[in-house]
Amino acid sequence: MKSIYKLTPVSDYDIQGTESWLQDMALRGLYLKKYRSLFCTFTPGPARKTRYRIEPCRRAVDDDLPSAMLDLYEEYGWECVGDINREMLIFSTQDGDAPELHTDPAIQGERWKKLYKKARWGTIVNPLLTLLVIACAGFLVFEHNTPITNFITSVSLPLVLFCVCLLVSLPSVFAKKRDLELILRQLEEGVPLEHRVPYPKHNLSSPVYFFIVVFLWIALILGQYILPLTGGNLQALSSLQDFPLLSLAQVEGEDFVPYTMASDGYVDYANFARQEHYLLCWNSWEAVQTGEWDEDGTWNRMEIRWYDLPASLAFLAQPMAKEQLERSMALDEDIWWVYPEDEGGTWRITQYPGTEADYLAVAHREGTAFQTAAAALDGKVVLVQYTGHGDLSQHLDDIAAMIA
Amino acid sequence: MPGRDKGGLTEPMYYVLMSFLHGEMCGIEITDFVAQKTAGRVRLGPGTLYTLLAKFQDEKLIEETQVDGRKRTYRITSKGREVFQDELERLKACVLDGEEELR
Repeated sequence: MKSIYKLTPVSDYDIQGTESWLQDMALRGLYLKKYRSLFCTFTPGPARKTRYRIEPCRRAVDDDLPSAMLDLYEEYGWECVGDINREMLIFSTQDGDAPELHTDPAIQGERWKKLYKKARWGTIVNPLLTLLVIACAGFLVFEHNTPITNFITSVSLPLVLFCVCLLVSLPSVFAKKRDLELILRQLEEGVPLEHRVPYPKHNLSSPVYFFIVVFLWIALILGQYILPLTGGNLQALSSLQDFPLLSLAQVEGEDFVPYTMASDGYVDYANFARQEHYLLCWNSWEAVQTGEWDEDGTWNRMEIRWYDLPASLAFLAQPMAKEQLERSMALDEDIWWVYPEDEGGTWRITQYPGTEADYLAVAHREGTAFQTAAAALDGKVVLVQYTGHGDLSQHLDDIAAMIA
Repeated sequence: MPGRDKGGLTEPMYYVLMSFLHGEMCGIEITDFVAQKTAGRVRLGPGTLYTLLAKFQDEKLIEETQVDGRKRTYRITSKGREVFQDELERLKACVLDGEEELR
């Protein structure tokens, strides 16, 4: 049979409003087939006066409908036609002689009390969960003290927006408790519930909120679990075409001896490029180049991270490059190819404002073989981390060329 | 449950429990009995009746004896009889107290 879909104009816990709306729909010849918070499905038929009543009935996920309740209600002419969030059941009758479900408000109030207690508990639990999610989002955004890089390369943006959604939805948790409290108070005072009340004709906020949340969930899953897999496998450095790579051989000079970890047909794990995709930066690369250890125990290695930000976020390139440089300097002591005896030197940072880049700086820790450089121009950011005998400051044009 | 937790039975509870003194009863029979006994003064909707039956079952005052399609039949337990008897004694005492004061 043909089904008709209607946006649900009332909230789930506007009990009397929902009953009134369903009764009005029946008068228009639309009978509830399935209730959903967002939209309901109706079956068309001849318009008839139909009474709808909502009864609290909490069920666990694996609980069946309470057959004793349904059987008894059916004996009196009331049929169960819907379920609201496994917390309430919707009954209807077209039999004018069917008795009202409840003849004792105080006893009816006892039924609603259980639902009210759960709603009251929700006003404590939901804000705490929201705070927890906000704390997690805050940790993700400010992890390593690199908020801009995290913003670009993690799911922090959808997560922050998700937190905003949670905050926006918090008042509804309290509204649910308030609605149930009003019902409970009225019944405890012995006043029967009205079944015909004014209700909102439209409720666009629920579908808008629903689609925003769905979109954010998709963004979270896409950004966290799917995009990282779409960059492909490790590739040979020669396959990197998006920018002219500063080569380790260039920096090391004539004495450079490449080091490889490749066997026939397999990628060289010491010299590779890997493309990475992020929600806010579709094109980024990581390139690793490695040379043989020197006699003094210094290992030649260069890691380059390159980001091409979208035009709308190009303004973040310069602060991101600065942030990357600082992070790279902080990493120094954690990098396994820097020897403990090399630690403790003073950082010397030199910025080069006269170059073609918006920002270009080289940092070198005195007494160590570790150098790092960062540059930004027109939405492109590059970070170079290098351990060896060369001098990155002698290759400023090559570094700038990577973001030109 | 209103009333019961404070020691007494509410009027609907009292009459529903009373209905089982005649033997096994199903939902419709209970409401018919109560309506007839009280001359329509106490009415029981299915929601009210279901809540009371569930409560009485939880407290072991009644027990389900038969399920025949949609029809479910219950009977009173010895504990249920005791509770009803206690309530009856309490009500009698209430009536006597009131009558004494009126004299």
